[in-house]
Amino acid sequence: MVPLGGYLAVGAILFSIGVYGLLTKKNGIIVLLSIELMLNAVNVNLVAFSRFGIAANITGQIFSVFTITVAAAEAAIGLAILVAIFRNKATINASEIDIMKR
Amino acid sequence: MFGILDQQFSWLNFTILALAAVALLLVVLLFVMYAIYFERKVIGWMQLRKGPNRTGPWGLFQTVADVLKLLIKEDVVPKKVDRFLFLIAPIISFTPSFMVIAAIPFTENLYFTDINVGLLYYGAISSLSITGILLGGWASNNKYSIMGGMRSVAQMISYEVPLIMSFLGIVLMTGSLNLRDIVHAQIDSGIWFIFPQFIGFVVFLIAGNAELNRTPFDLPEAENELVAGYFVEYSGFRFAFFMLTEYVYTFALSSLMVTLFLGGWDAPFGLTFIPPIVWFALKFLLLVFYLFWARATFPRVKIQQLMEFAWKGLIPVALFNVMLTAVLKTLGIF
Amino acid sequence: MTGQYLAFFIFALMAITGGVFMINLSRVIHMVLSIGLSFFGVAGLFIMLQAEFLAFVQVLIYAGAITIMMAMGTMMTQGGDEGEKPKRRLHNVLSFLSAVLVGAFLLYGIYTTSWPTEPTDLGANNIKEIGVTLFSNFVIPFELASILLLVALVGAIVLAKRDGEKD
Repeated sequence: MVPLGGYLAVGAILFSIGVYGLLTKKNGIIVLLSIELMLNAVNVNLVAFSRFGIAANITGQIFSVFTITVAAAEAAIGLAILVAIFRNKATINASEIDIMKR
Repeated sequence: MFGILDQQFSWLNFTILALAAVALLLVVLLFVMYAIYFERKVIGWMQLRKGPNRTGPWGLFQTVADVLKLLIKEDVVPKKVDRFLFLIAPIISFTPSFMVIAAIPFTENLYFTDINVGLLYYGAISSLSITGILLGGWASNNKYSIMGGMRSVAQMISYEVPLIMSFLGIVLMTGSLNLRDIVHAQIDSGIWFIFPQFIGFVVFLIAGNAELNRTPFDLPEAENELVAGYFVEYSGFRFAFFMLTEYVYTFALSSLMVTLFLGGWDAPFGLTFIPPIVWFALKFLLLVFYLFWARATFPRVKIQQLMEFAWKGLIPVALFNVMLTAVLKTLGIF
Repeated sequence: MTGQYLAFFIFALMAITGGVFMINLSRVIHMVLSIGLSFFGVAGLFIMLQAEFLAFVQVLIYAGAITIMMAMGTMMTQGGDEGEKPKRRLHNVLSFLSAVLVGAFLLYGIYTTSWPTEPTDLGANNIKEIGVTLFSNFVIPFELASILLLVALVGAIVLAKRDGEKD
């Protein structure tokens, strides 16, 4: 059996990649994707603990189902917002969407 | 599922798995070759023509010749395409179409995986092909192919919803997503699900036809408006891959329909002296014939009719079917 | 080495290389494709953890739907593409450091804790159990999630529709 630490390590690495992408990328779509990657990393942890934890049971998987639901809703809304922004400003570059700063 | 995976990793196990997969691939390729021949013959007869009849006896080698021609053609990559995506898109599109076949039980003993979420597996993996089609259309850098790709995505995503919903009635009745359990439920109760789930069957038939991008729902490759849709720029064996995807899905979807609605390998009227694999093949060929028949007789619909039909027609009917099945199940009729 | 280790290794590699390529590639559509690979790898990990239902939901929602949606989004927002002109070198370095710090901290925590080593057998057919639990203990969150999805559906259509468009 692959030990629990292996899965957790994959989750941690994915999460760090997501953090880096979120902080550096300017394209709105890639920012959204980085968030999805971080949520995915969390899901890996939840499912791993639902199999290996101290009181392991199915609840971890159920939490993941909810995470996936929310992530899907978030992606749809996020993309719709990006399309609306693009229509008004002809860019989805996050550093150029700064009307609130001025 | 981990039967072989749990054992010590050895080249013997690996070779067994690989050989089984190659054997299945050969069967599927043979099917595809003769399905195309059969399709051209059927359409020919329906239009009072002869169909292919020159190469070999009754034209039997026509598709073999076609395939050879496609394989030895030059692999043309246009200059302004996104090279990497252009090369990889047919593969992304084809691989899932072959992967889904693994879940289908052909007879009591002939199946590749006994996966307990078989139906979900089919729905999930088959949705991956759409990515290949979209990327192929995009990478070609051609307005017709991008339009075809977009249309194809819109259509396949829209029709996937009623397709999966039409399964749900059966899942409610059997309480399982395992395809073998579903066939066993039909054998045990002695009645194929086409009768109690007739609405689901009709929805599946229509949505499946649209999912395969076949006439009357072949908008993505409508020759007379889009030249050929998402694979305009493809030629040679990459084009063959897209064609192959379509026909392998025909194989997979017809097999799935046999499994879900027509009792799989079950022999009707107690005619058990005919082996189960023959029964499976007969039912399967009947459905394949239906697809060709529909292609020969229906006119193509318009794009807005297509989308409206999915969202305003099929999905409410499929939902109604799920509700009805749930009510009947609660009342104890099913 | 059993096949399970090999499978774990391949899926983990898929998940991580997908993520790394997303960071390093330059065209947005390639990034979207590589993240699709990453999602697929995660689904594989779920299968290894006896969560088949979740694995195929992951493939259906992430590798299928979200990847395609983001690819279409990229196509609709062309021009906002490939414009990484103002080089914020300091910002990038600091972001990299913080991400590495987060990762290192997590990995340190993971490798210094002694986890339970024996996996619990969740049963070969745990999809039924998921259904039962979902509709008994978690029925209110489930209903809320369905309302959330409905709101997201309507909201996305309203947001993405052009102003003053009939129909």
